[in-house]
Amino acid sequence: MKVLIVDDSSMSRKLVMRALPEDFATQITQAGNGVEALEAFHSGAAEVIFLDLTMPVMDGFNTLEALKKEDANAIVIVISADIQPIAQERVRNLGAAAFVKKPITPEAMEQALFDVGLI
Amino acid sequence: MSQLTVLSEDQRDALQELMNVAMGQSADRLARLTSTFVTLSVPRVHAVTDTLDKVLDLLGLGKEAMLVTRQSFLGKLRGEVLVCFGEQGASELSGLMGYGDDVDASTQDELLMDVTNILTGACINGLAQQIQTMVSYGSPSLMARAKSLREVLQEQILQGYQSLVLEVRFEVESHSFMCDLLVCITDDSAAVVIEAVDQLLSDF
Repeated sequence: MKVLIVDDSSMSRKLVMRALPEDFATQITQAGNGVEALEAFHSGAAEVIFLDLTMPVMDGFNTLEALKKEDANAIVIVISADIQPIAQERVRNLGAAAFVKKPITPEAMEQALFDVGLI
Repeated sequence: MSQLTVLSEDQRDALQELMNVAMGQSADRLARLTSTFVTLSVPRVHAVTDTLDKVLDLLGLGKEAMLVTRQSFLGKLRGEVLVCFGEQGASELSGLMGYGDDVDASTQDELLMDVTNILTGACINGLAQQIQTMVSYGSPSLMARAKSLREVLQEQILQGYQSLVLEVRFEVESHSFMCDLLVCITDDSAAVVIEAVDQLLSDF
């Protein structure tokens, strides 16, 4: 599975990588904001996108909106500290398949992947 | 020398992420309190070892008059949270909470204290939880009315809260209300935070 991890924090991206089940990802690409994420997606780097919401340049909401607009063929799992119920509802409406609150744990990752049918 | 002056990029990144998680909890509490959606800025970490002018430039909060509340937190992690509202913050907040125009000043001040308490509690608890320490809190109080941040921060620096300032902006969608949360951590307790950050980083 080609995985794209989008977060402005390198520590957070490492936490996501560490939480992934062994052998889940065949390729991992990292992006620090939504603009970089869209570039990576267009270059074919993503079947699954782990997306943060609070980021500089382009935040996660705008990234989701852009992906939705182009009917992007990728499963997006939002991993965010923005745990407001409205934020969670919005990302679902924008096409996110799941929402996981930060800090991500291997258990929460496994549950999210199971919920969206990826494991 | 302040602990912050020797922070590496990785340490700064990790600290910013700890604050992101903590501030997310504050935003959630504010959103639930006001039945709104709160937009969070990316948290920023500032050293207050620079000149006051440079710090104020970094904070980007300018010279305009503000209404500032404060609440101290105590324990291994020690410092003070300043909540900077706009000059009209009190009336904006009471409007947001559904009070009419005739709300009196003491009710407005009470609301400010409540919001300060909620934001501080959620944020500092979130931070303390992540670095596995306990904190207790002082009572919130009004620190300054119609004062510039320059004057307010000058007082903070003089009192020794000069090591670490963590900043985030909360904006309430579709309303004019916004506030900046400044978490000022004392120089001696910054070591506790940095130790926790190093522990996190050593896991990788």
